[in-house]
Amino acid sequence: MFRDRTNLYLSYRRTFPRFNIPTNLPDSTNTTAKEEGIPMLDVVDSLKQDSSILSSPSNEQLTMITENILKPIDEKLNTIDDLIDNRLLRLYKKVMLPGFQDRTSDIDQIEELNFQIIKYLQICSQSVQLLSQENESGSVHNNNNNNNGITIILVNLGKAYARKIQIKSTKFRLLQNNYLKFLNNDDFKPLPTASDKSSSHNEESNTLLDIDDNDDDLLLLEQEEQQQRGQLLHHTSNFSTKYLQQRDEEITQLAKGVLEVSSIFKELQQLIIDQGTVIDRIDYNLEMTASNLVHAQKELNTATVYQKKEGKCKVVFLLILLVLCLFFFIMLRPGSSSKTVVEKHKEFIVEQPQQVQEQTQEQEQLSPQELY
Amino acid sequence: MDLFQVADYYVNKIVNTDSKKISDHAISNNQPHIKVLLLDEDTVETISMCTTQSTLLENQIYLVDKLENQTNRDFMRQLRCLCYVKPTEGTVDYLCEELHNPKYGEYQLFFNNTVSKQQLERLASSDDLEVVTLVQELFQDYLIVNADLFSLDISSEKMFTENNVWNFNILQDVTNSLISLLLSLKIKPIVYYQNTSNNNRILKLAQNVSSEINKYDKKLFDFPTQDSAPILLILDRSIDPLTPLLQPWTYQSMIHEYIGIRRNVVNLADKVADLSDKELSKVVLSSKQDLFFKESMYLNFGDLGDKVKNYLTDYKEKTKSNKNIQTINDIKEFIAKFPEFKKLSSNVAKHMTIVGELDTQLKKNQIWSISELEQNVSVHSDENEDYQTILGLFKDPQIANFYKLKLALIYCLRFEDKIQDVTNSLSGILPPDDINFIYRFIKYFKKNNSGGTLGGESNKNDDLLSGLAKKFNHTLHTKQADNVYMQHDPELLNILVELSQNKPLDPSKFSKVGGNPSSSSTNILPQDIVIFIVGGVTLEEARIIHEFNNSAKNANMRVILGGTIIHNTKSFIKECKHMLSPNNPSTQLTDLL
Repeated sequence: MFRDRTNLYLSYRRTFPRFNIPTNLPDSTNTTAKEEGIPMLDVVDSLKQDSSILSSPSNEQLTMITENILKPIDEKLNTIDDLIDNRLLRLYKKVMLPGFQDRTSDIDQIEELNFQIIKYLQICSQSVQLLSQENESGSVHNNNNNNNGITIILVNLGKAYARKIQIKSTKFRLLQNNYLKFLNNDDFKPLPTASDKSSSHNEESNTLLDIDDNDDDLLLLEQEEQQQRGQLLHHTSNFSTKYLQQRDEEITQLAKGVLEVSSIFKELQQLIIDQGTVIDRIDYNLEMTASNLVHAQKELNTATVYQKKEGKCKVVFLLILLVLCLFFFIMLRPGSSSKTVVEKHKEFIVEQPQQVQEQTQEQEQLSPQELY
Repeated sequence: MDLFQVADYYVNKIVNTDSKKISDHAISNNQPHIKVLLLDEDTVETISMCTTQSTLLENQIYLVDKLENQTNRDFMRQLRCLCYVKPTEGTVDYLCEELHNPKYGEYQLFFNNTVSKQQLERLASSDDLEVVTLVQELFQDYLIVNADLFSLDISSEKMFTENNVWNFNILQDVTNSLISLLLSLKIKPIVYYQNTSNNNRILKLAQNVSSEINKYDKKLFDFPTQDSAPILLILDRSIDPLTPLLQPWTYQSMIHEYIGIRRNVVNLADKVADLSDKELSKVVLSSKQDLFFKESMYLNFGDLGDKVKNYLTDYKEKTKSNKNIQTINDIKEFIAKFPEFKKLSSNVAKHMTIVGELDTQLKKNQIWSISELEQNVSVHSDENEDYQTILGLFKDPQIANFYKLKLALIYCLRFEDKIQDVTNSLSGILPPDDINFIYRFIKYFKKNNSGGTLGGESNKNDDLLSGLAKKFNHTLHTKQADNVYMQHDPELLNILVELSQNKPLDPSKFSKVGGNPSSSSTNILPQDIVIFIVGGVTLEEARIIHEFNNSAKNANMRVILGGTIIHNTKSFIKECKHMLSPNNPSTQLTDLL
């Protein structure tokens, strides 16, 4: 049994005056009057909105995810449920019941439904993967452990939805298996009949060829020949279109099969991942998160230490480099290369006045020539 | 009267509450809403013993956290928070803090016991933003081990103060837990208690419980009256000190004895040396979730071997069918079966490791011979042969001292006059502390068991006819007496048998709270019986209860057993050593007297 103490609690709460309610909300009194049990509803809501605006973008991310990813998945799952329960099951029952009427249309319908369900399932599993991607991108964006709750929620969401999809798909596969078994038991083997058909077609074509040969051999009148050829052409073209149609059907069936196989493999992958990780114990998971948190804290601490050290390291490195440069400079100064430079410079300096002198001499020499 | 049903009911109650906020309601109709579950230290254990993470996930609880963890949680105001906590002062403090600065948009509070008005007032005063929309009391302040076994997980060391009287707070806790149990089972019982125990501590607990029942009479214990009044029987461990000393042989109890179960978790990491699989270092054994364990938990070791073998062959067949996958249809079938198969394989691996470990432990400690001797001693009347084999075992250096001490205790409990001989022969083998402990142990339990059924001499008091009747009943109700290792029946069985035969409880041993014992003799068979043993229960006794409940003869009786803790032989002796240590003033006094 249980006891509800909400009313007592609410009556206690009413006796306490509230001081920190924001007074800039005029309609708060109205709502109190309207909703007796839950007064100040709008206050809380507005606060909530404020806080969600103020709070980190991760919260928006969460609402976005619920809106954009989870809602469609839920809808799809519901439609799958509907399809399986209402239509597929009924059709299966109808087909499995013994009867004489033609059931090909029903069978076609079943195949179409199967295809649809598989497609939906695939879409769902893809969106679940999207969820995990979102999670990864989120964790990359905010590498502080502040939004740890969000990541846990996302991981759990992923698990829960994977489970839901899995349950649906196993249900569907079980149904399908039963149906297939029924078909096999009923000696209603689709594959052999198809091959039979094709073989018979082959025979037909062979006989046709034979006829052709015979025609050539007989060398009948051109008209007749042409007529026959026209007939034959007509026949063969007719046959080839049939043949092509059949091939086309086969190919589409093959494509469907491939799709199915691919979905199966995807499921397999997911199955292995999820089954391997889900440990069904609340306190264990709690402890794990706690220890993970502690671990993360440690890692973060070391990371910050490293980062601080990095700055220092850079400065020290720079200083060392500077010192080294200076050292080299000093080492090399009394060396030969600097000497030569200085000497050259000196020579240059010495040469210049000589040149000037020469020039002046030339000028001086020239000037008497001009004079002459 | 099935504890798991009760637990399921409560978990559903917590998990399936609707949001009370109208604005939320409008949106949430077609949108998956994410819920947060906050627990405290106590409720983490209660809830994890009766539900699983995936059930929570199915019910849209995507975040579980502890209330105490206030710094590391984020602000997520768009989420709804379910709080399931024990109404202690500490958690109420935490809750007040939480409500003062709410991290989530809406709070729904669930308490696992009665919450006082003062506590409610404090919560209301700190709820400035009016985020709380629901306050409910659920009554599950105890740990559910099996469908008919609960434990409070309080060790006696904490339970009693220096003078072996109740620690006041713990007494209050135990009383509250018992009240919550009664409320969750919807019974308003007559409280009986064992009047032969020392220190009146059982009397005190019984009085507390019955006064609480009277206090909440109109408000909570407002159940329709049953034809037969339910019974709450409070016993002391001293009524049967022999059972927790014997080596147990059922699967569950053996795991507890040799590996240790704590809150359904078996820690294999430090016991099994060559653990190949990391996943097996900690395994969960719950009779609710593990069907194989449910079927085999009460089997003895021999039957268990057969069961495990069958399980294994099943598994092998399934692996064979999985091997030849050639066509798409095979793959499809494999996919359909795979989750179940995976579950099966991990389960097989789990039980194989456990059984293997049990087997090695049995061989290592020569349990087979020890246990046979223990059983012989505890059941047969004085036989010199047994005594000689005991003396032989004492000299065997291969056997651990612990088992020698235990044998000595069992032998002395049965034949008190031989205590001198036994201790003399053990003097060189066991440390003197242990020898002293034997004396104290015998003295303590003999004193508290004046009307007891331990020794042969107490039976002399009964007249010949009732003795014969007792013996007859004994053979009737113990069909498995042919098993050498399970000859001894706990005292509990005798009580149950007497109750099922509609005999009034022996007034020399049990008395009713608030009434003279003579008036208690009603002629209607009691239907619901809760037995609570202060000082711990054993899983062997849990087996007795289970068999009693399942036998067709007692179809209209339901018994639930509980104790302050679940004992194995080691924990029991450790506790007794602590309780009877010479530093403990009360025992010193009684020893002197």
